[in-house]
Amino acid sequence: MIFIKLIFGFIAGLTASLGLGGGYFLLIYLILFGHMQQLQAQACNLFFFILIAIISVILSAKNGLINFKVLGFCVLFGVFGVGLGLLIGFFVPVYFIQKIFAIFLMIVGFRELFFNKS
Amino acid sequence: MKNKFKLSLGSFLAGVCNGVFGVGGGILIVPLLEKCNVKTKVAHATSVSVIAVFSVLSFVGYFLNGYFDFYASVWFLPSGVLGSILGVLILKKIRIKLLKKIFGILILISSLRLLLK
Repeated sequence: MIFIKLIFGFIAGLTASLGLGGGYFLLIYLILFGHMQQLQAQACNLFFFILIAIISVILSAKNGLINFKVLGFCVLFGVFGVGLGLLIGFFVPVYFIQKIFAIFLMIVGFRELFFNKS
Repeated sequence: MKNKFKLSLGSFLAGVCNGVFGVGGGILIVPLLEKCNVKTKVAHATSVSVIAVFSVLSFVGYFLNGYFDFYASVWFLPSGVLGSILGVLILKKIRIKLLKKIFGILILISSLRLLLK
């Protein structure tokens, strides 16, 4: 069990730093195979991502890959979105959050497969 | 100007995604950054930074509402750190296009499973 967690942790860290969305892998694992409740899995996922992202950000900054002006611009508008998202996440029943998340993942999957030209 | 508006809206929506689902946002931000003529590798790295900030804010919300289980979460960290370091080291060398296709397939399969759960 711990070995599987380590494997998924590695894949999640790798894909997160490649900008592929490692959070999706870990969250899916936690909900489908780890049998964690949706909001707990999301909290766990955020915790994981923050710590991994710190390493990724430091190394990326060292390699000159971060545009700090753009970063500031996105954060300025995104914080309001986070606030709204938290309100929605905590007040909408978890069942619906899970189904909406599944549809969101479907859109992400289709986009990566058929519409991603980068 | 148009691209800046799209980027601000995309950032807002990415924040909403991050708050609601505890994940995501980069999927919205990366293409918008590329449309603003940011190079792909820079777009990916900058996106990770943006989502990191959103994630900190979201995590505070989840933590204060008692949803965080430290002991369940900690096991993913050691290998996650290794994976992250490897990812940054190979980011400049790897062909992301193929990985995105594989990623897309896995995500689609998982989404169906979640929907039918």
